[in-house]
Amino acid sequence: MDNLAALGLPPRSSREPPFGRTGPRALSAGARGCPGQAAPAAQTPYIMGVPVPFGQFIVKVHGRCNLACRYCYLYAGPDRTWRDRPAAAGPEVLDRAATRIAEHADTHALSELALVLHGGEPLLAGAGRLAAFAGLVRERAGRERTVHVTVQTNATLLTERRIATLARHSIRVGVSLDGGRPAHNTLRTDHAGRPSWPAAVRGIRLLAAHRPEAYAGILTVVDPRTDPVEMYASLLELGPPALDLLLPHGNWTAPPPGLPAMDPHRHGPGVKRPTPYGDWLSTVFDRWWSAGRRETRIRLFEECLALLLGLPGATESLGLDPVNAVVVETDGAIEQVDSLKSAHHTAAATGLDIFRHSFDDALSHPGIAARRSGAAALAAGCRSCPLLTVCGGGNYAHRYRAGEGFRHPSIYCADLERLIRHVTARLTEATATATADATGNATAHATTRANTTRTATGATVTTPASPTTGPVYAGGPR
Amino acid sequence: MSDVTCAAVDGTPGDRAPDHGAPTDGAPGYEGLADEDLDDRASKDRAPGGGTAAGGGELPDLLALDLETLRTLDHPVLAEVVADLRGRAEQPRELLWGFNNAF
Repeated sequence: MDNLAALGLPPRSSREPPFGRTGPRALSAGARGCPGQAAPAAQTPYIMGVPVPFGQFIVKVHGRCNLACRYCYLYAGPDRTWRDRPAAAGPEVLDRAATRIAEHADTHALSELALVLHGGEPLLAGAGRLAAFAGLVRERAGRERTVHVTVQTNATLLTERRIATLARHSIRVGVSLDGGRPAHNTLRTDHAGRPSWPAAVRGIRLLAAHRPEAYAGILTVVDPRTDPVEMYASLLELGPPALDLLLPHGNWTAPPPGLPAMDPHRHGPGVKRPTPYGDWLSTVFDRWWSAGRRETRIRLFEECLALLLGLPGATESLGLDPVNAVVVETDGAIEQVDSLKSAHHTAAATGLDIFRHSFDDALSHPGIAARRSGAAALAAGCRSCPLLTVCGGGNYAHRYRAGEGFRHPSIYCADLERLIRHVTARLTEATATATADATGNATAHATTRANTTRTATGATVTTPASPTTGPVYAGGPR
Repeated sequence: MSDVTCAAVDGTPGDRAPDHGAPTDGAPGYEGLADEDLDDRASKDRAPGGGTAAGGGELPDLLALDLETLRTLDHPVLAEVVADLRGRAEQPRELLWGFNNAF
């Protein structure tokens, strides 16, 4: 059965041209855009005169979840757009999404791209449907282009058969779990309040045992009330090739657990306060750093190290690099990354959709442009902070304050400083010998980096203090 | 940054989020720290010029470090991390996939 048939679509020639629809379309309320966001007219981020295209396409193949985690930023937060959307992405949405992705890849000559099958819980769409959609995207993108496909799941619906289907279609499986013990996952319950742990751990163990090559890793939301070393060790027992440790979504209006209400104008960079999240992460870092080998990759820590070494970052949590991900919702709406939904209702909306707009139209949407404008979108205190090029203001959604928008430090500012300075100290200790050899001066590493980063050709990138310009790249090709 | 993009960053009065309150239940190191105490601590600890009272200031310059040399250091974790990062500087930016809520 070909991919179109597997998705319930007729052969291509019997359908209307892909982009011929100009009539009105009943978009969901969220897709009509949010207050204050005008029609796309903003500046697209550029590097050396070339627009930075999207490279990561998050498709909400299913818009509901079989769990009801109490901290869920999608279903337990301020955004309600999911209520007005179809539960699952229909065949016409998947078909159009595949075509739009291929179009964007062709326009920008992408040699590779990432397709993320997301939700809700994407496995509610069925493993076969996910495989067919991945196949359709690969087919439309063309053989000369590599499409990396992952599915992010809560693992409760993983069976041997489903895992085999996903693996056979080269779909890697990422799992969301908050630790390797039942007590770490008490907030991850189903709609009847029953713990998801038994089903989740069974799914993960099947994945690790039968298809380790398809096991992408585990995403964990940090809870500073847990013992960090115990929690980390418990995750290692599940054999993940990679982890990421995510700060729970919160902001200045709705602070995360463990942080009190604060004022971004009084509690920003340089202000000392207790740092439960920074302390917790630093403890895990030491455990990971001091092991005799790299037991697993921890994305947050490795991106911090990359940024400290002057390399570009690949995370929303740190750094100034443009976020190159875009989301397609179950009704075809094009949206910004969904962590924004933790800020306010419709925060991720653009008013665009894949039936009427290309992903290039989304590149110049003001909300998307704002998230890709680096230091220009930051508060003055962040732009003058010595940690600017590593911290980057943290996750964009964590800077929000109701009525004031996103031009603030992160609610986690002090925690991020704690972690970054801790990692810096460990890296400096480890590299002291190399530094002394390179410069002939054991104290050379004490000089400051003054907001510069490196490129492969040795050119430097200096981030100016001016709020009207983003990073300036000079000397040599990108 | 254009005015329209600025508006997207700075928000509008209409984008109000419900106030979920500030749960401070039982987080280690945070019991009993009232907002007034936090403000008092913040004003005492803010060093002249905006740095923190202790351990703040500019980061040391690590850019002079040669990545190839770092790979050969006797630090297994650092060596493996740097090995993975070797091609990072040459990579097109669209290949740096930073979406946090998936792998």
